[in-house]
Amino acid sequence: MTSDEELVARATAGDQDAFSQLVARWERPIYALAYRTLRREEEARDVVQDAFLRAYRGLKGFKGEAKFSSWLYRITLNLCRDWMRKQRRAPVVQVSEGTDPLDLADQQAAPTESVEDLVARREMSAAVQVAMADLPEEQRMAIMLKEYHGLTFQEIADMLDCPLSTVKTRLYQGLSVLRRRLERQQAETARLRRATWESTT
Amino acid sequence: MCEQRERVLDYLYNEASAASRSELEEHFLACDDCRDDMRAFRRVREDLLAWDVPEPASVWTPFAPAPVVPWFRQVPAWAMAAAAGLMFVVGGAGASTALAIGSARGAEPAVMAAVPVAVPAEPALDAQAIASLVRQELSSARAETTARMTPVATAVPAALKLDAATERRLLAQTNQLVGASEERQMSLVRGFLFEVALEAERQRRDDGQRLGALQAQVNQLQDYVNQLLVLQQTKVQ
Repeated sequence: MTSDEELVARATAGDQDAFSQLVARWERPIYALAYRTLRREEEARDVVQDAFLRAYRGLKGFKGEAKFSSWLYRITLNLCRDWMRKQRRAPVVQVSEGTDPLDLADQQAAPTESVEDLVARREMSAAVQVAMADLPEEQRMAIMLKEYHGLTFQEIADMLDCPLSTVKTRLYQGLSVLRRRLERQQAETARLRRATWESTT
Repeated sequence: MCEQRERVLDYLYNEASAASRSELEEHFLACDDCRDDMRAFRRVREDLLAWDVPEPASVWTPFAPAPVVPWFRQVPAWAMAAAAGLMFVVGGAGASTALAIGSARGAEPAVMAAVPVAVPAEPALDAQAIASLVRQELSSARAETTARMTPVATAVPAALKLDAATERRLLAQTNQLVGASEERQMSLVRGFLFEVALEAERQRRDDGQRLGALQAQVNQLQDYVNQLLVLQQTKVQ
């Protein structure tokens, strides 16, 4: 597979196909980052479009000191921050409430996933989103870049312009908060299930 | 609280060196807090996987689409010829319909012979021959371009008084552009071949359906003629 660096060089020389290949390669992760940051599909799509446009226009200024993906992540995060600043509000959690069995069947990850497992997965997804939304932004960013994008501590530090030790502290604190909230949430879900079971039997 | 607690992250995310990992493993044996963190963070990581992202449609459409050129203008003459040849071969297989009418007279009731209708042959698409044609065409185009460009390639650097390094750089860039252009052309050709193959297959199916209908008509006629023959024979008797 052609490396990002090669494609960037070709795109800088005016090869639109090369840039389209970069887009195809990075569109999904960039969308995931924007979506998880803003938690809004439409706005996330706008941010992705804008991020690639900026990257395309800024290709000549990209010196290759960082990885192309890191540069793209940074552009995306800045756009997300701009959007949130303009809206002057924190992102809201859009958790789908669909409990229609047909709706659920459409969302099964695999045909072998039982409806019970699917419901549990959706409950966990909602709990994770709520818990993440409550974290301070810098902790949330560190966790997202590490967990969902697999960046190294150093790459995160470079991207967020902070020392490596700060990244670790943010991660540790964020994970500790998530741990407490998710454990509480799971205990609460288990209690509710028990109560429902007892009331029906 | 353990002072080494943040080092748990190095272990958790596989960013610790081998030596550091062994050291941490030793530490976990002795430190309840870190061991507890380690287990809990692993569970959190599993829980975090539950947050999936909807599949987005592609959002990238900034490059204007190429102007639409009628397909017959996009296809080079040699490819048209190849496609025509292909159609001829496919069509020929379906054109060998033959009718044989048996004699109407005779002691025994004459029955019209079975009328075979040729079933269209398997697709006679010779992809290798076409690919070979494409390669030949590309190769001769390359030779022609090289022949035309060689005098220019010699004259331009001399006229511009380019130094060797610049000349090499320009040459490398030109080669890169030519390579990219060839890649695009090949991609177009591959797309075209795919379309030809699809069209041939569609044509073969259409022919099959038409011939099936024809076969049914012929069978009907055959029954009708047989009835007439039987009637005629009855009259004669």
